[in-house]
Amino acid sequence: MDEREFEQELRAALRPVAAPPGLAERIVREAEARQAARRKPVAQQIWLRWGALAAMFAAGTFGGLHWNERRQVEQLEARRVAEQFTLAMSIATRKMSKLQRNLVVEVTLRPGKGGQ
Amino acid sequence: MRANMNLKQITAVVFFSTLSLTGQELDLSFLKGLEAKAKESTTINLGPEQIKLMMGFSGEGSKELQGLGKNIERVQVTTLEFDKEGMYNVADMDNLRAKLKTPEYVPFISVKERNGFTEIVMRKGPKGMNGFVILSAEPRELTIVNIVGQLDLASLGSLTGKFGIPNIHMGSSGKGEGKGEGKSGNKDEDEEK
Repeated sequence: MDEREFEQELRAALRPVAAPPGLAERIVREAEARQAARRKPVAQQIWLRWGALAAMFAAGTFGGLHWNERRQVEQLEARRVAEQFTLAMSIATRKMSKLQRNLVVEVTLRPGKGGQ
Repeated sequence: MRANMNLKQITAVVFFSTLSLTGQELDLSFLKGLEAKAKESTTINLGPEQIKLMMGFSGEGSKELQGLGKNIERVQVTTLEFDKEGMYNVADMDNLRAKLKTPEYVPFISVKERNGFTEIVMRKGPKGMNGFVILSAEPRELTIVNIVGQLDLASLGSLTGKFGIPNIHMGSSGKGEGKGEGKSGNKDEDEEK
């Protein structure tokens, strides 16, 4: 192949060719379809976000109720202990009060600890 | 030996000379047999965890209770009331009394009564006194109180007259005593008569 033949073949290969009919419409349709396909996951993500928020809200509500219930149980137990504690103090104070009234016989104090 | 100490002095020494320690629960298992004979029995045993729980109490008087309990490690009280005299032997207490005759304990007050006695024994700690034990053997009542830790007298004073805690008789006039004391306080007076 000489130089002239090569140039003719190259020209033939590079000559403009008319687009097939309907190509532009097909490209536009395909682009729209791809865009729509992209939109769907975004919508799903939004639902997922709402779902996550709802789950968090539910968990928070449940956790709050559980915490409140636990706190009430602790308060009841604390009240019971407080009642026992005050009863113990009452008994101790009563004994000391009675001891004061009856303090007659013997007092033993370690020297240097405030004894008279 | 006759002593004219008033309760203010007694409680001041008892309450202020204590310091927190753990693991000083008295072994009161010898009372198990007597509990069955008793008309009424009261047993309170509060350890550090329960007292810590009480510190979270947010009801009436909670501030005073928290002030009172903040340095308390253990509260152990057993009271046995009997229908009649002679339901127990004072010697039953001897074992416990013997345990309190160690260098760890300091006899503070001992009052002999008819068919019984009342004693306060202080417990020593590394930095001072660490609570006290009250042993009270009366003809129809046996009481053991074991407080481990530091009691704040001011907080106790703010609680007296409330929650059934009798007013502490601070002076010698006898005025003000018995308010809020209720049935238990009167019973003691009746017994003395």
